[in-house]
Amino acid sequence: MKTFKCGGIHPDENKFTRHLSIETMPMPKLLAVPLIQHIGKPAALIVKLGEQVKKGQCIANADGFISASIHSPTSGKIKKIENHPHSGGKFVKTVFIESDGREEWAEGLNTDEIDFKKLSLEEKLKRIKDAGIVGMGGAGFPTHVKLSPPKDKKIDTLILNGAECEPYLTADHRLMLEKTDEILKGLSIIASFFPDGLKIYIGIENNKPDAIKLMNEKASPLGFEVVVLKPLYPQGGEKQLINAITKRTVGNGQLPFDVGCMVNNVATAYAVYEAVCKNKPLIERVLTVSGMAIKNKKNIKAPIGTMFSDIVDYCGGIASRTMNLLISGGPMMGKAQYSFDVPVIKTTSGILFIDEIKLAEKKERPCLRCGRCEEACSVNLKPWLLSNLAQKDVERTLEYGLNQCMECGSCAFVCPSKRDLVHWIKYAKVMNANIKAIGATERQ
Amino acid sequence: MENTKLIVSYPPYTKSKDSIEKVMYTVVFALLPAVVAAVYFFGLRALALIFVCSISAIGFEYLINVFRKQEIACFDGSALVTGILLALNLPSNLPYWMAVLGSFVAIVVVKQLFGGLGFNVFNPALAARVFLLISFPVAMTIWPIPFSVDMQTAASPLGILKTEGLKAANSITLWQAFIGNVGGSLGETSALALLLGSVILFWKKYITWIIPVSFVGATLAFTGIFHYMEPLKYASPAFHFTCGGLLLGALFMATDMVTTPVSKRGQLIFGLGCGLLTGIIRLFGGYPEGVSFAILIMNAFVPLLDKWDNYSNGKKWRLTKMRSVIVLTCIGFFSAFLLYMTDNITKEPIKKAIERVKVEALRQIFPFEFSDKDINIAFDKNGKEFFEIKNKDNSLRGIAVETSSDKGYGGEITILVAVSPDGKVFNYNVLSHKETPGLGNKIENEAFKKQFNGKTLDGFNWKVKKDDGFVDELTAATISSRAATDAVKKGLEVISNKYFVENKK
Repeated sequence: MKTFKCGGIHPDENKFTRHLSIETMPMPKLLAVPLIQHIGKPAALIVKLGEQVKKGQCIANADGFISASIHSPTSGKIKKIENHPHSGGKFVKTVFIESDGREEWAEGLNTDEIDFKKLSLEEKLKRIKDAGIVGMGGAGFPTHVKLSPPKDKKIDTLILNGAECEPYLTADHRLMLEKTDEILKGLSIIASFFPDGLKIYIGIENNKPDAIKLMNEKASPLGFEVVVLKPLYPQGGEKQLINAITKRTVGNGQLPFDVGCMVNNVATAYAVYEAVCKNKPLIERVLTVSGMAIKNKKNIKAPIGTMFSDIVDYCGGIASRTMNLLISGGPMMGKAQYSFDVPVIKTTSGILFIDEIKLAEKKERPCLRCGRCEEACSVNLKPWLLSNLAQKDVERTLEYGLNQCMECGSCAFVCPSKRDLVHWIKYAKVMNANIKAIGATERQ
Repeated sequence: MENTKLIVSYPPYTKSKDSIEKVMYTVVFALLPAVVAAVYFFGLRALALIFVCSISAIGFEYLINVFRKQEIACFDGSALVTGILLALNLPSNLPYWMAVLGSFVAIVVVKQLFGGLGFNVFNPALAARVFLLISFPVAMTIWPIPFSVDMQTAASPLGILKTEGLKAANSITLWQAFIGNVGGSLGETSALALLLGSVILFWKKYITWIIPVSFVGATLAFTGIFHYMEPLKYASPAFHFTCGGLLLGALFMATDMVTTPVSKRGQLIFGLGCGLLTGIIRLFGGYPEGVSFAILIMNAFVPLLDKWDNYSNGKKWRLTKMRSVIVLTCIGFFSAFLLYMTDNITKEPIKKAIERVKVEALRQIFPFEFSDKDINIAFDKNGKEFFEIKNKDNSLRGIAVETSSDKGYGGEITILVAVSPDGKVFNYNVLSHKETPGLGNKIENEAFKKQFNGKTLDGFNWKVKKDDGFVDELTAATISSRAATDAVKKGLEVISNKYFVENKK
């Protein structure tokens, strides 16, 4: 069984929802659609307050090269446009849409399935761009940008990321089981952007044997190879997955296409299929609702813009009085929320309701220098040294590879002293960015 | 939802179940075999000493927590580990107040004044041991003999090696030293118990093989090279492995997380440095034991070793599987090579060297000068070796023979007796004995030897005065005196059997 070369941890999987089919959530009355749901520039708003919108209608255009457009998840009226809590932690300009309950699609969208082979590359890319598709594994990099890499980079390997190494999350797992054909069609569409001779892998961790079996049955005839991976976090990270499957190493400051690889998430592949074959923009996504503090754990398909409070109501309410953590995403890389009004966005792969009192009381203890963080680090850093330097001499953290850190949290997970290593590394990154900015201003 | 208080903190929101307490109490658990061995060999006094050290260490930790207005962390196990390790480094008859003083130095001076857990540069238990060793050199170097009821004391094997030489040290069997039946501090004597305890640390991955193997490997290699070059002057690597604090140091002291490098390359260099320094101090230093000093010196290098990696190329030195295999194979081959060397190739030099020693001994016991050519070796019908010293005209000037008596206090006494051609004793020389230092070993004194000068087998009662003989016994060493007398008499007997009885026939 394959896995990546260095570091990695294996936390308790807690995948309680692995056997639950995806339920489609009813349309909530009010949706909050933020204008930032991707990496890059916020989308430019093109609707006005009080305007009537149809389902799937574009409400904000991609603004600039790295950006993605945003669509109305339902038909209804623009009720207000104001700053609102966002799962990224900041207040973000958000469009509130009051649903009229008619679910009327805009013209030409959500058509019957067409054969993607009849479409030219330009048409396919345009459909993907117009649908506002971004990487749905968490980073949110616009897919149309990813599919047009610089001409001098030759892609010879395409990887479908079905690792889903985060504990609790089962959305990708269920999607692979229930939408197998659609995902494979989406993968074929992505593959059609690259020359023949492309090697196509589907990487799945072996804690999902049913998905492996199903994928093997359906993907092998298409010439795709299913690679069984040993469960190890953070295998779902691009660089780790490339290393696990192809043994290639994406170096410091390199991108996957520098080693001829491209990685796409299964949810992205599904969205690509819907955009190209059905001309359906990205207005809903599958996510896992789990954790000990929610009454009914579920895998749900929710419209983008659904506020977490609506999901709580749909899942039977909060079961624990002591619940203290609301997490958007998985427990390793997700973000704790301070409000139930935060909406689901394109990159929300799960919502967790945790009631661990111990976590609330956790306190940083002194570093024992046991070196486990170094062992666990999958990019070969010294988290203990970085976190110490961050508090004393923040500029020196750059000498020790600060910017290679992808904040996967493996180091903080294994630390016996419960040190907030990721916090200090993030802090050092922000401080160094500030120092750089100040330096640039002074030079001017 | 309305009543829920949400906490915002940084990810990850799930953590491993490891904690400082778990790490520390596992180390305590790993030390239990050594504690049991200490109590088995040195009795309840050892247990009492361990209790005194542990409780005083925890007490000082508590006091300093209160004094520095810190959170009370005296039960996190780290103070307990320091206390037990300190006790294991002390002789079992050390006065309690000295042990408490040691705990004070370890916890207050070395640990807390440097910033507390995680910030101390030097290993607290070792620094305290060195402090006690320098402050109370006598109390810290007199080691009770295992199983002795009235706290009889002896030097540790390494002490014997340093002060009395290899001959005396070789009387300790390696098995004795391995299981721990020798003089020494509580924890260092039993190599077996230490190895047993460390298994859990390896299994739990609290320590890696790098430091112990490189530390022990470097010590063995260094002492091995010298042993090979001069086998009679330097003890064998096996002796250095089983005796003294090497294993206690390599398994429990040099693997202390706080005061050793985090990076694998740093650990390798740290271990090799410790081993080399230990070897140098043991062979050439003023102190018999060098483990504590070696580890403390290397502790000071840790910050440097840890920041060594260069990130300009985006790569970090990692101990890959390949590198581990190479290092381990090299150490393995080197050890095997050394064993081969010491076992086979040294046989010849050892034999020659023994001959040389005997020639030296012969020169000492004859009252006249002679050259090597004048020595002739003869044998009797039993194959016993006789050293004949000839005149220029080939006539006999003197005869010497090796005899032994098993009536000694500590076991066998072997001597070389020199006799004139007319059967009068010239002198004798003790080749080996196991008598008590300071008492029984006075049989080597010239004053005692002189009594035998000119005596013949017939006409004298070959007994000590206590038994109506002519030999003035040594004060408080009657048994040793009897044994020496017995050995000299035996020598006279074999010589007279060969030279006088046969000649008469």
